[in-house]
Amino acid sequence: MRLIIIIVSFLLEGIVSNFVPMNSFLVPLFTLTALIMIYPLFDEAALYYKYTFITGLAYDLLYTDTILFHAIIFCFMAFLITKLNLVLSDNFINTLIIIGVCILVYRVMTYSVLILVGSVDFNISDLIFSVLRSLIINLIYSLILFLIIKKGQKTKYNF
Amino acid sequence: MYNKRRFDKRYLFILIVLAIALVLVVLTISLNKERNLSPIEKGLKDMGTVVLKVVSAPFNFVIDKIDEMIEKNNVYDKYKELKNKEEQMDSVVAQNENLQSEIDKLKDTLDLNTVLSDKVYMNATVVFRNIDYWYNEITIDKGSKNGIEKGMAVVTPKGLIGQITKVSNYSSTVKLLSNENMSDKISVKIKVKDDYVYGLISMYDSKSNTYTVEGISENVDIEKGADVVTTGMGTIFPSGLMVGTVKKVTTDNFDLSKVVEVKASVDFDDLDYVTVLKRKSE
Repeated sequence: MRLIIIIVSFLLEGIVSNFVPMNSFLVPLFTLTALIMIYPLFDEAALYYKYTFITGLAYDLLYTDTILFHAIIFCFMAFLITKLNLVLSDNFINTLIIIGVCILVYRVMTYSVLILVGSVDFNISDLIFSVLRSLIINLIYSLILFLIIKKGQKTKYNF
Repeated sequence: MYNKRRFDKRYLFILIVLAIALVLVVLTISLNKERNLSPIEKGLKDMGTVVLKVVSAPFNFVIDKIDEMIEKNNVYDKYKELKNKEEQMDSVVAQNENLQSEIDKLKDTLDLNTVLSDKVYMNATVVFRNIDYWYNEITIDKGSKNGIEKGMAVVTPKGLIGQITKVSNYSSTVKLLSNENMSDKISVKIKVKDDYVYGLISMYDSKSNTYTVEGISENVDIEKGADVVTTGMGTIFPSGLMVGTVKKVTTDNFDLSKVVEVKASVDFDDLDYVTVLKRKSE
């Protein structure tokens, strides 16, 4: 079921991107959101890191034409998610906080690396907008995933 | 014991620095714009593109139906507009034929095999858009097996949208002109009376959907609404591709040259089907 959530979120991110206007505040980061939401469903951290790394590789290949870029960043995000989950208890408000922090860190990391290798020029307003533009739709998506996961945990499905 | 711990700390520090350096080297190679996709990457990307195309088909169908319904409401206005255009069609066709024969004669006279505006067309469907500020790319469902090559110009009926940057066997990535960090300066010309003035696109503003064109002499009078097209020089874009229309004309900080704000002719939010252009080689 964890795998289904990741695959569906991964594909949905690609589909939704086709319909969202470029300057809107609805930039989907469903793959990252799914990785945050499914963390409590893993008993072993090593397995979670494996899932994260493979998802990052797939993201690199299909969406950004890079190698290991998102695989490394997603692994760092997994580390951050693990640490945040140790500090914060498992409820929806805390999950929203984790998503907010992760989107911020993900955007800052991506932007920093791209500046470092000379792919983009530094512009602080671009960075701030990119974080703000990603928040709304991903918080809504996290609510949907939260409800699905909670319902799944109550039923016979093995999460 | 003390020495061992100190050694361990130093060892760990060197290891971390080496790991960071290695990651940066990998990322620099990975993010290099000129990098070609490896055969494995090509295969996996093609597979992913097919899956994405199949999965998004029902969504595209629904969106197309909604668009169709909206279009149906304006059908009478469209009919009137088309009828008007049809009346002018015969004269435009005649004019085109005349111009084409003139071009052919000139090419014969000058012993030219191609001119800057010669191009071959290839239609493609948009499979995925990467709408992040720093990517601004689309993936199309045509690749090297369909004759697509790196650097080709990509257009819609409204005008130029970008350039092919990565090519796989059955899919390609197009870098859009809406990328605010567009590194290649595009050479354009603006119609002024019966002549053209030349300039370079220096940046794009996503909020107003406008390009900034620089390098135009201060002495030229540019009218608002004038067409801006590619020159076919300097870059790989063939000449005569619509870029936009003049929105505002100002001068630079030193009053030495004109800075022209050009409204993009293309709506970068509405890219479902595109055409890839190949400049005819000799």
